[in-house]
Amino acid sequence: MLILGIETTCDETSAAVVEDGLILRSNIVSTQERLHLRFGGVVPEIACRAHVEAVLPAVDRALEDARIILREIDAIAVATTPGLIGALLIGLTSAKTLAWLLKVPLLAVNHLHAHIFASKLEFGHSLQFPTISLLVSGGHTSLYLSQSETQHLLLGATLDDAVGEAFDKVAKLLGLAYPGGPEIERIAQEGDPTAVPFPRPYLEPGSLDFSFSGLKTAVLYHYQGLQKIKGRLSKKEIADIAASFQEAVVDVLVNKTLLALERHPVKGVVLGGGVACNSRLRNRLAQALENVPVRLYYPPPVLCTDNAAMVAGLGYYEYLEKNLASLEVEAVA
Amino acid sequence: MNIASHTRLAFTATTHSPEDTMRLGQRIGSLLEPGDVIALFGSLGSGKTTLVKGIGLGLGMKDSREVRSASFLIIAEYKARIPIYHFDAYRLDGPEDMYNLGCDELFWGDGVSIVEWADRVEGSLPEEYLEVSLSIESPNSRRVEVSSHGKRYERIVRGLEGKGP
Repeated sequence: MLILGIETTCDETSAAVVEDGLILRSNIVSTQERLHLRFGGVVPEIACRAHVEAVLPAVDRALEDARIILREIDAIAVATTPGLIGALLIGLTSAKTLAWLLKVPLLAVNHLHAHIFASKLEFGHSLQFPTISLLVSGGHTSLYLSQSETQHLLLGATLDDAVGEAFDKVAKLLGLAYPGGPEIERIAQEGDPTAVPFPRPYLEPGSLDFSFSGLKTAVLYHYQGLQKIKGRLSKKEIADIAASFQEAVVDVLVNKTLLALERHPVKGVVLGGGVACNSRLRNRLAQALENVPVRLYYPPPVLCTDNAAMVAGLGYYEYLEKNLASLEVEAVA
Repeated sequence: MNIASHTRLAFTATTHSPEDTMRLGQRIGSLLEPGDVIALFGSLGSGKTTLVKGIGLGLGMKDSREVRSASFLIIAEYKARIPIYHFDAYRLDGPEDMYNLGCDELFWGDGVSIVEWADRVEGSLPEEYLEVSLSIESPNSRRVEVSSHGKRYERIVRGLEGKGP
């Protein structure tokens, strides 16, 4: 079964073809990052206009790469929630139109669940649910108990800033480029992660929720304090702050994941979302799981960030469970 | 009285913890009516989102945890005594971006609109609004100034004064 996936929840316009849920036939991601570089963030009007222009060419190229024609598509999957409402609508309207035109089923997919599914595209049947799933991105930070490809029980989420957002805001504060995550990771390599004892926000004991707003503010105080004493900060001082901040974030993410695992002893941990590209997080999680019979799964970078392959793949499992969407289905921000 | 000649009423408080900021927000929230627009000014880490959590509670939200940073979504909507539209202009680049998001429709609707990083989109605000400016005084304290732009919002400043600082 060939499913065409469409993803336009935020920055990326993406279309992909996946066969039987697991075989990646094509995955086209036309990123708007260059557009946003000028602004240091996402500007919704620009994002929406760019989605309109990019979505059909992305579909065409996805079909071309998969060496099929439109009529061979058996179903259309689209991410309908969550995201920027204007951006979501463009993907959804395209998907509805194609499904109606081709008279094939429409599958509405949760973007966050699709990020968890991304690892399944990489590992296939060797990834077996249930798992503890940690989703970390620019807009989201959540822990789930994933019972199957389609069923995810939310265990905890951020109460304020998402991890990726904290990375972006701290990067901006330190005068680094957008997007902030990769920049902090790069600069942190030259820094000492123990240089600054930033707070580890764990919230009340046993909580699986997250809070990164106070940590962001702690970085601000530290940075401004140093500036007052020294004027301009050296490259090494910036690197130390970046490394110490990253370490504080990773500590919290790793420890909360272990706590979730303690409560729900499953055999796998899935990491997903843009921040899952962060190698410090990957390595620290791998280390933490070294001596326990729990396997760590994470997708390659291209499937960590927003992409339509994960949408098409999860769409197949929604199809198997007969969760077909009607043409009236709505996007939910 | 036209707006140009309107004298602004202002209420100033210092809060000493995030919980304190939230309580002040809660008092503001309890004074709000449908159609009110609140513009939040203040740098990174000054407590804007924390204040919004409090406003949410003051408007009868059961769980302030539902209020998160809206930097990613730009507009979040919460169910409360009056619907709350939580804007975050952090990633916007001017009033036009706000218009393109349909902010006018929400400002003139029956909900309460709260705009974080209002300085980034000041031109899109209606003539009358409640200004709340937060500044960092020390790691634990924030100066919060609430001032009325337009007669409509005087009741809120008076309400805050009535209950003492």
